[in-house]
Amino acid sequence: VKAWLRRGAVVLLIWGLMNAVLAAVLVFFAGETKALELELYWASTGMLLILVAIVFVPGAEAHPRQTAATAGAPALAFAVACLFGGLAWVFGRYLAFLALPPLAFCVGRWRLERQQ
Amino acid sequence: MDLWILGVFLSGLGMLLMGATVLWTALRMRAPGMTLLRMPVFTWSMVVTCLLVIASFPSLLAAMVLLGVGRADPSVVSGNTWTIGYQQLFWFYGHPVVYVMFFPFVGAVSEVLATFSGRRYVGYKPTVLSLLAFAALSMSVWGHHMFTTGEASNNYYSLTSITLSLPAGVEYFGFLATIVGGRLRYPTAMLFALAFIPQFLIGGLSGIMLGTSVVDYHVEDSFFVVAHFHYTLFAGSVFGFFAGLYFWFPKATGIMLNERLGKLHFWLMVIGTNVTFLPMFGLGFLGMPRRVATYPANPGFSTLNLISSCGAAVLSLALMVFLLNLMRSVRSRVPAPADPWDGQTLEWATTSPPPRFNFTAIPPISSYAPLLDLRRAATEDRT
Repeated sequence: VKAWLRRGAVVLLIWGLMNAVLAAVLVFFAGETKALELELYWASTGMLLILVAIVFVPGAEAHPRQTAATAGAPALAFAVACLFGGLAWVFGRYLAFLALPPLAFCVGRWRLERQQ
Repeated sequence: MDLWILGVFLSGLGMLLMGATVLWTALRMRAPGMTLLRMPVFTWSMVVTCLLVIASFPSLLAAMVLLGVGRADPSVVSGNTWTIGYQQLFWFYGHPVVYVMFFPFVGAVSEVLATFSGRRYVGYKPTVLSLLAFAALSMSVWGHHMFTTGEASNNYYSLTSITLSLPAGVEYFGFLATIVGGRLRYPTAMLFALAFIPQFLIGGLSGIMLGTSVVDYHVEDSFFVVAHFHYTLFAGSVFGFFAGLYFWFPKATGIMLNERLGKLHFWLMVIGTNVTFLPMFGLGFLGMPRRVATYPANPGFSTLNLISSCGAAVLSLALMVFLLNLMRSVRSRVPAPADPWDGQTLEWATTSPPPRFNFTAIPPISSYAPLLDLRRAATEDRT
C-alpha cells in the first residue's frame, strides 16, 4: 500500500475525488441547477478520473524515468512558422511563404539534434 | 475576429500541452529519492496549477469552437446558448485560470519566506493538502461570476466561494508560522514576499465579499470588482512574481541583480500599487461601473480617480527602475555564486546558471529542504 501511495497518480486520484465530491454536492442544489452546469463539472471530473486510470496503467511504469531533454530552437521555429501560417489564413496566402524559412530551420535542427 | 479565435484556441491548446508535460514530469520523472512529500512547495504549486489547466482549459477550447462555428453559421447555436452557454463555458475556464495565475507565485513566496527566515517551511503537509483542496474548490466556484444572470445556482457557488477561505487560511498560517521565530533577512526577494502576504489578503478577503451573492448584487460590474482582482493578481501575483524573479534570477542567469535598485523598485511598487488600487474599492461602492472610458464628475468619482491615476504613474516609475536594474546588472555582470541565499532546495546545489542536466551527482534527498539538512548535518559534524 505504501508503495502504491507513493505513485504520482495518487495525486490525480485525490484531486479527482475532491472534485467528484464537489460535483456531487452540486446535484443537491438540483432545484436551481441548470443542466449545463452539471454537464460541465461532471465532464471535467470524469476526464480527470479517466486520466487517473491512464496514468495507473502498469505498462506506463516501463517507460524510462529519465530522458534527455533537447534544445527548444526547433519548437520555437515551428511556432513562428505556425504564426505565419495563421496570418496567411486570415490576411493573405502570400504570408505563407514567410513560414517556409523557419519551417526549414525547424526540420534541419530537429534532424541534427536526433543524429547527435 | 477569426484570427483572435484561432489565437486563443492555439494558446489554450499550448497551455494544455505544457500543463500535461509539467504534470507528467513532476509526477513520473522525479529524481531518485524525491518522493511526493519531499517535493518543494513551489513544485507542488506547479502540480496543482497544471491540474487546473488540464481540467479547465478544454472548456475554453470548446467556447472558442462554439464561437467560431457560431460566427460561420449563426443558425447553429440558439440565442440562449450565446448568452448563457458561452458564459458558462468561459467562466468554467475563466475562474480556475485566475488560480493558474497565482498558484505558482504562492509557491514562490513560500520558498522565499522559508529561505530568508532561515528555517524549514512550517506546515508543509497541511499546505500541500490545502493547495489540492484550494484547487479543487476553485473548479467549483465559476458560477459566482454569473450571480446576477439568474442562470447559476447561487447558493452552491456562495457556499463553495466562501469555503475557499479555509485552505487559503491554512496557507496563510504556513506563511506566518514560517516567519514567526525565524532569523529573518531582508533582500529584495524577501521584501516582495512579505508585501505579498497582506496585499494578497486584501484581494482574498474582498473575494469572500464578492462570493456572497447579496453583496455581489450591489457591486456587480463595478470598480469594486476591479480593485478585488487587481489586489489578487497585481498586489498578489505580480509581487510573488518579483519575489521569485529576484530570488531565482541569479540561479537562472548567473548574474546578481543590484539590491539597492531592487529595494527602490520594491518601495515604489508598494506605494504605487496601494495608491492605485485601494481607491477603487471606494469607487465601486459609490457605484462607478467598470469597463468605461470616462465617467460623470457629479457623483464624486473625480478625486478617487485622480489618486488612482497618480498611483499608476508611480507604478510606471517602479517598472522603469526595474528595467534600469535589469540593464545595469546585465552590463556590470556581477557573477552569482552557486548558492547566494543559503537556499534549501536542490537547484542551489549546482552552479549558476546550471549546466545541462543540472547535476553530475544528485545530492542526497531526505526531506523537502535537502540543502538545509546537509548544512545542519555539517554543523553537527563540526560540533
